Amino acid sequence: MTYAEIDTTVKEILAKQLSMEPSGIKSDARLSEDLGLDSFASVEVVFELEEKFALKIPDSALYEAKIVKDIVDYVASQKGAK
Amino acid sequence: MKKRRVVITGVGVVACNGIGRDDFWQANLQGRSGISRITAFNTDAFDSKIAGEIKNFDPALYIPADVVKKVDRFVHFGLVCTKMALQDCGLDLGQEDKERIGVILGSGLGGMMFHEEQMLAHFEKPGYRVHPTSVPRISPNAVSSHVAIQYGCLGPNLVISTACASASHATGEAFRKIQWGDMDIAVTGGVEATLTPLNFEAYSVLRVLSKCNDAPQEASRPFDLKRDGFVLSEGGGVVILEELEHALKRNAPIYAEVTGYASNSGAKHMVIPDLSGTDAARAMGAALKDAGRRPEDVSYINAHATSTVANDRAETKAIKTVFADYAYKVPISSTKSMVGHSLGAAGGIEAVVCALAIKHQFIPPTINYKNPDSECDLDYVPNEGRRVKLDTVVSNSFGFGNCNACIVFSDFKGD
Repeated sequence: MTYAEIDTTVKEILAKQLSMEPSGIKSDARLSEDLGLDSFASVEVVFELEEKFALKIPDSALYEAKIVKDIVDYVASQKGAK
Repeated sequence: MKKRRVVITGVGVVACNGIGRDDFWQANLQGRSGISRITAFNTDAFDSKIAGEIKNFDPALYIPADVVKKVDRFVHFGLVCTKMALQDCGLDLGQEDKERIGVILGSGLGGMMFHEEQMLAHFEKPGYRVHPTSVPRISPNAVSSHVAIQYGCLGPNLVISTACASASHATGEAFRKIQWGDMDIAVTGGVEATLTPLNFEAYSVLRVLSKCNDAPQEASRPFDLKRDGFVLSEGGGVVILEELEHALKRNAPIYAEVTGYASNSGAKHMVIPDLSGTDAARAMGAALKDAGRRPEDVSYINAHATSTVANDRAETKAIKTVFADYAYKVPISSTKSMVGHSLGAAGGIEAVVCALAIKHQFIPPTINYKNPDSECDLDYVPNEGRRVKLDTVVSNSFGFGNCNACIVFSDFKGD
């Protein structure tokens, strides 16, 4: 899986959670301040990411991600994508 | 502190024979049943294959789509009924002190549907991971909390779970909280999404469900000698209770006044009612005393009457205990004959019936009544409704576990 594919999928998951179009999710958007992703919604997003990418994501990664790109980078690093 | 007076200023209902106040009331006027063959799941394994299923119901027509997909069906009923009731009462929430508005609803089962789906997948699919929204979807108080979140109601927020009496307990307790000044306005009543395979089987093995599968609309036959159990149903009924002065100040439409309430326990059995009807009689007597009404003042009883032999006979005995000779004169009907038994929603739907009955001065019938039972020999308003002068109305709810609630509604004459 390429970085671009991961980027697309992450944005689709976020968009579904936030009931918006994937095109409205920018890479530098702040998860909390810009997108309004609260801690409970984050738990749902992590659940979807784990399902989609067959990953086990620790709580620490959840807290460290501040912007959309942080999530994409984390998944890409775990999947060895560039 | 002096007890304050409480009135009903709005109603909202989702029932199998009518969605919304007007459609539902038409069904009550016409004696229309909402019972049909179940389509929600496969019934091959069950003896009973019928229910009061809400069909042609799209919650997204009433509530935001993102909320619809995040909550269980019982919350859909709660949010939709609340929206209808708030519109009906004409409250401008922007002008109200939200800390004085409470939400007290009944639900016997909570989010049973999502609970079952998750449980089934968890046990049947190796490696299946339970969804992280399970806790807030399944919790019974999801319904009162979602209503409060939707409308910003900052007052008391409770869900009462007393099986088939849940909604009447909720309504009664909301009435008390307004009476004694804890809040001024309440969204109250009850909801239930009963039609899930596991829940249906659980009631089926209790052998309490009607097997009248070939004539679904004739299956719910309260007080009839040939009744063969109750028909499980789903839905919701919500009423807006409001402190009288508050309602008068804003010229609110007033359906009826809530004048009395009592609750008690038979303390005998988790399923079987006290066959002597002693506890039910105590509840009715206490509610009438609370209302300052005599038995002779009652012009209609909306019975609990589920269409089981034990229940119908015990309630009939209880009415005779409280009303003595007048028991043979007071009209009694079971609107469950039309909508079946919606457990925790029943008392809410019946509160809507009582409010509309008083407003329209009309008693809905007990339909499907053909064969008199010698032990049920009162006036059950058989098959056709009755236009009469209605002043004081009693609504009974008797839940599994001998949890009883009785509410008294009266015509509000402006005095």
